[in-house]
Amino acid sequence: MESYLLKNINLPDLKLLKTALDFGAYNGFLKCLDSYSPKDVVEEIEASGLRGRGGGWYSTGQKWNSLKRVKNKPAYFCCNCSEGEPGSFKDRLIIEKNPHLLLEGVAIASYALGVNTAYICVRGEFTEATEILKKSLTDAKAKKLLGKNIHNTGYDLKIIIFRTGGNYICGEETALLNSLEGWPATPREKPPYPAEAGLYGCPTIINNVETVSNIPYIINNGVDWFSAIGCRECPGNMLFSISGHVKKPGVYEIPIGSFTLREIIDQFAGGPNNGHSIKAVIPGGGSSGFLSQKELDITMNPDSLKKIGSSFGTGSIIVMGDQADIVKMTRKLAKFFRDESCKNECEICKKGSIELTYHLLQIEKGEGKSENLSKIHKTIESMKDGGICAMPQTASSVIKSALQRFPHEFNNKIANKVS
Amino acid sequence: MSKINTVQKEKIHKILKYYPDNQSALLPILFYLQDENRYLDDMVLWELCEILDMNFQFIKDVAEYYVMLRTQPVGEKLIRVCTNVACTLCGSEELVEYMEEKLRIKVGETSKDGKYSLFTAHCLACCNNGPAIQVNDKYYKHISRKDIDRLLETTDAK
Repeated sequence: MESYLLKNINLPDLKLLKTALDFGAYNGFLKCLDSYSPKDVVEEIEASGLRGRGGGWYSTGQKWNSLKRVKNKPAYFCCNCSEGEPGSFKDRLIIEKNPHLLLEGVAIASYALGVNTAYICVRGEFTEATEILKKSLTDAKAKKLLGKNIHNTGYDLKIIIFRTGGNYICGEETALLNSLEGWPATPREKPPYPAEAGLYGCPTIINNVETVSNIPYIINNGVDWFSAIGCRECPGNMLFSISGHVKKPGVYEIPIGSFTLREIIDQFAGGPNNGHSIKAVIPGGGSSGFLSQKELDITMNPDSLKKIGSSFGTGSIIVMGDQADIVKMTRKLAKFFRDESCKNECEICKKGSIELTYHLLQIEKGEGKSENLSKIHKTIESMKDGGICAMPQTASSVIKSALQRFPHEFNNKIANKVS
Repeated sequence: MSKINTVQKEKIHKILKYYPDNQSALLPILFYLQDENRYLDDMVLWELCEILDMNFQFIKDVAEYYVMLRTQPVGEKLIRVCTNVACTLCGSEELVEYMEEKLRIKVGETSKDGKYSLFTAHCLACCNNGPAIQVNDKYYKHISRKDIDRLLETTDAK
């Protein structure tokens, strides 16, 4: 099993340009500038089968190919570093430890898409990461690896590091674009998709940090190398963020589709804490919902999880031991969706998430009645068709997954209620 | 007296050069002014709308919308405690209660001496080190009650 994304991550100086260059940083980008046309790069990425790691799992090559160029209008590239998915902490790791990998990936993507201005949108809370990235950008520009007339090839690339306002919704592509234009971050109605009319109405491609970080390796090592890692439908390694009741929480680089969820928890994260067994697992971040311990033998790839109504999301695994209070964790997620509901006029998102949080809290406190539970079911139904973005739908399916798999946890709290 | 001084005005104009229009520079400028003043006072926003030639209420709405921007005064040390699933599993809720007790404030409030403001956060992307907190911009990991005692003493001393 070959590690590439995290191979040198623990080198203390990897964020320094000199060390990064010693380990091959920007070689992929210079290779593109010297011997590939932009079209060649797009073809290479499409042939590699790379799929977006931000949770959507679309083919990166197809996304790039969907860019609709408009005469006299520039195209933009945007790297989404608004990592806010509960349980995900891999993007912050890449930015803080290997910023030049990210910058190189952004540079290759921009070159491939004919972009001369790219944005890296970093979550507002990541102050240290933002500073590291800004310094790395300055250093790379000083060496003519980025900026004007890169490596004397005539190619110009201006990269702007943009700090987002921190709200979860900034991770939604079109909300991110609104944020970049100085509006409150609210999702836009689609179509048009950003690839047609994105930033300032111009064609725009948005890719996640981990997706972008795979690109230099694909260019350097070739399509055959990349396609041989992971599984056919989803090649490459994935950075799994593992947290909760496990012995060794952390970020692990694992080939997609090569291990079951149980194997990942046991073999990489050391298994559940001593003296405890697993009760529930969130397999792909807060938006993916709950799985029970009976479902842990599922192979970890986006398609297999989709089949059982769950989601691979950002590969963020939160393990809950037998000591966990499922009702409380469900309420926590409902509260998360309530607090992160945006300024848009989707009544169902605002009202539904308030209702869910309220009724779940009643049950959690031991003051719930069966009517609270039926109201939760009714609200889940009303939210399942979604609003302008997928948030109400996601909230609905997350809460539903807990009720379906752990009905006794809710019923017990109602039965033992304090009278 | 002007709330935005000459040096700050120069910096604002420098930021504006990076963006195609004034509105796109709004967030970076608001972050800059917040760093300078700890929060975005109405008087600062009034002066800013003159500089940017933008509507005051629009700027205020944007400032109020984003969780990382503040339109109300906050303490010298702004504490954010992650209370999402992973950190809750590691005991962050009990930690919030302990801090409320110790600082004699509720979440969202500032201590009487103006030193500390306490907030909760939805996932700080530090889930492997829960409970995680941020004091101003610095992360603190695997926080216990003892760490809180020490942390409040150290930050006091600064």
